Amino acid sequence: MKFLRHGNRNIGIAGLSLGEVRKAGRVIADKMFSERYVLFYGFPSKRIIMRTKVFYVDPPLIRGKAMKVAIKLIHQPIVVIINAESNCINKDLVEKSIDEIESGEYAIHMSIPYTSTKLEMLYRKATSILLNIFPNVNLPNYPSYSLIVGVRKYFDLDEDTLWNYEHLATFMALLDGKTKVRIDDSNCKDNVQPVFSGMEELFIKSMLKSIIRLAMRRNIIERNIGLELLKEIEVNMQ
Amino acid sequence: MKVFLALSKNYFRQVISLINNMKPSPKVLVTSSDEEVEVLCKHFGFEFRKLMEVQSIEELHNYDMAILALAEDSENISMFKIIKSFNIPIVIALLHNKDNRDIFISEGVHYIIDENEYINANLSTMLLPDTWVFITPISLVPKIKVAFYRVLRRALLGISYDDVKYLLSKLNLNIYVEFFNRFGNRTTGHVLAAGDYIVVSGFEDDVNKAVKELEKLFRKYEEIQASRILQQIKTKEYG
Repeated sequence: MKFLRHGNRNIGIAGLSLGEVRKAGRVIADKMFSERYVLFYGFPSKRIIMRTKVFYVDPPLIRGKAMKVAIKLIHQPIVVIINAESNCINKDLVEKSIDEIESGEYAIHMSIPYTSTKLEMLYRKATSILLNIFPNVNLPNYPSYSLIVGVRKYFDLDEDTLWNYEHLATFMALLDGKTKVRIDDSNCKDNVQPVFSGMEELFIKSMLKSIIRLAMRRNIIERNIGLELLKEIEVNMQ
Repeated sequence: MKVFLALSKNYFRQVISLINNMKPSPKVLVTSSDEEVEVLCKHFGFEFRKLMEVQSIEELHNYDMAILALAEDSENISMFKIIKSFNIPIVIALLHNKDNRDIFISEGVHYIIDENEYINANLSTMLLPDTWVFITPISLVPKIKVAFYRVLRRALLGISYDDVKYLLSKLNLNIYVEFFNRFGNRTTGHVLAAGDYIVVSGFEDDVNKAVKELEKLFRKYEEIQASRILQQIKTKEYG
């Protein structure tokens, strides 16, 4: 549909970056999106001049906070969040996943894992803990993703995390029951930058805690059980 | 006058004490995400609405001024996007991160108040001696600027006040220069001493020019001092 491709759709895009914008910069600058932002959550060395609007997130180096800010800035019903440092993201791939969500097939679509080996190891541990508590919920295979497209209402949460915000959204969507989540395992894979080495444990812990807190708020598990689990996590993950 | 306020709990005291002093007292409408603000509004008798309701308040067409002082930059921007359609003639926003100034301007905020500029200036005058610190005292009037300088190591150079005053009088600039000692009183001596402050205030361009010239003067004195010390050191000549 040519008129939709060149006109304004009800979509907002936000590219997260530590200080560099690579191939994905072209995707963000596309006029198909009615709101376009680049969010820097690192310490960029020089002042960056771009066509799109640039926002600097405070406090820096916290990806979960950056994603939350992106969702606050975008006022459209469909939200696209990409890793602007990625080399894997095409325009076609983004457009295809948007089409799926606009047609109503899926509520959230994620592809291109964004991981380091240590993060993956710890994430496996965490998922095994979560499977014991919520046997019906299947969480994604990888700890974070470079391309996330979704309906805004699932991302609009009160919870704070340090690293993976997308898992909370999928958790909420899966609890709804009616909605579908699609997670592609594309051939491409992005590596987490070495800036974050050493913080992996904190990231995974905060994700676990926030998922349990979400479940407590929605009355899926009882409050006493939830509080005990939060205490156990502090011991188990060390 | 009708004023629309988007407040976080940190700025409630400052903004409300200002508005209570205004005569005739304005009509005030407050929104906030904090519960504390809602309680305080009931105490003062202000009208309070929740953040979600702002979109549907049609009265906002008649308002004269909006002040956005929420806790984060992203909240301020998203609030401004909601208000945009009401065409309020004056919108003032509080800025937390200096780098986000451009996005505020491109969205169309009329006046921006940079809060961290004052914190930054106060800290850097203490932590960084022998450097110039700039500040705009009222950020709504951007052309007026003040420059501070705390002398520490450069006091050894023995620069006299008359030298500095003579240099600046030659330039014919619209600026006001004053010297203070470290206790905040006017200096009575003849030579710059350790802990002294130099304060230059005036229009932005003039202050920048004066600072440049003063820095040149300091450099020249440093060169002379260095060459003197070099002559005193005994060096062996080989070959």
